[in-house]
Amino acid sequence: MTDAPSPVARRGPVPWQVATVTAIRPETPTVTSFTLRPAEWRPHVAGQHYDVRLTAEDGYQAERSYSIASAPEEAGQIDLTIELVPDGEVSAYFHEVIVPGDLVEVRGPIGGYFSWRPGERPLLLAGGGSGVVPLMAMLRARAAAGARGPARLLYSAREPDEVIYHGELARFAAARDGFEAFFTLTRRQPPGWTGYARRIDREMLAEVARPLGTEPDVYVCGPTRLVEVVADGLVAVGVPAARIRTERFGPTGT
Amino acid sequence: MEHADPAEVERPDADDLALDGNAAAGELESLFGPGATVSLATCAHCGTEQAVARLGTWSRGPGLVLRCCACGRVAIRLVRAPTVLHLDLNGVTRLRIPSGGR
Repeated sequence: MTDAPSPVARRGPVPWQVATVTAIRPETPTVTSFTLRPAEWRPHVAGQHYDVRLTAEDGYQAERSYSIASAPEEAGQIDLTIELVPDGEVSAYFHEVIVPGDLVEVRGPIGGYFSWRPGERPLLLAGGGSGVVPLMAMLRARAAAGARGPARLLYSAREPDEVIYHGELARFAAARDGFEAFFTLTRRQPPGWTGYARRIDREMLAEVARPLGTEPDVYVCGPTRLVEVVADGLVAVGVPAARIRTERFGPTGT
Repeated sequence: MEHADPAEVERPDADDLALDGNAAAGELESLFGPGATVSLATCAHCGTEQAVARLGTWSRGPGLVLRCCACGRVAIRLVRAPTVLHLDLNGVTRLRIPSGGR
């Protein structure tokens, strides 16, 4: 690997603290966004996470890491977009128990590898399922910064209903500021669908990536298999491995 | 010459259970600071240097197990017990941790 350590501004670990849930917004039948106001808000970089910790009365604790969905420009608060996973301890609590005004224990922002600061370099984002969440933070940060460099999102979902942020992504694409969105619906497509209708493959990656030139900054987030297909496929079509940053979502990540 | 523990070499079948070092960021940053996941770890087994964020991470057990993304062998084990934190860095010969200064 040719990764070089990059400077980080923050010093010392971030402490656990209490955050207030201020808004709850359904995104899809199984995905909901929660707005949290931490007692002490710290600016984040798009792509970073928060850890969330729940403590039962008997002292049992469950901890999960969730990507921040909102742009750093939304000072004082963060959005976490959380998918309800079967038997998920923390996601079920968020989806089924939490109401506005509730308090949760959080720690963040954390992570520095899968993070992006707005710039004009060509940008390729590829995500599957709720892996789109940190990519959305990047697109929101990009829009907030008024960046106009070429940027493309390739987003894989199974069905139309499962596409998170559909309306906002359509608005970003309509702004014609250099951003284009590409969708693939792998299981079911609506009538008249003109997007892709298969799992991400090399041909699809080549079509989406080529107009960005040979050295785009690439961020890939999703289930392990998708991340590997995309990362390997992009290397095969000529994107340098060192430009590709990945984050795997799994059963414990949601 | 290496006599690796077979249990250590064998990778779990359910690779889908593996995340990456990003998933361990909170725990690792509490030990090594905000640069933890962009730190570069050199694998003690195969010598590959990789960002900690790229280590395969198994987090479903009572602790965290992080494995080299090249050879799959264990790099870091971390278990937080009520009164003590166990940290095994036996599989890493070197960690290059950014100190934050520019």
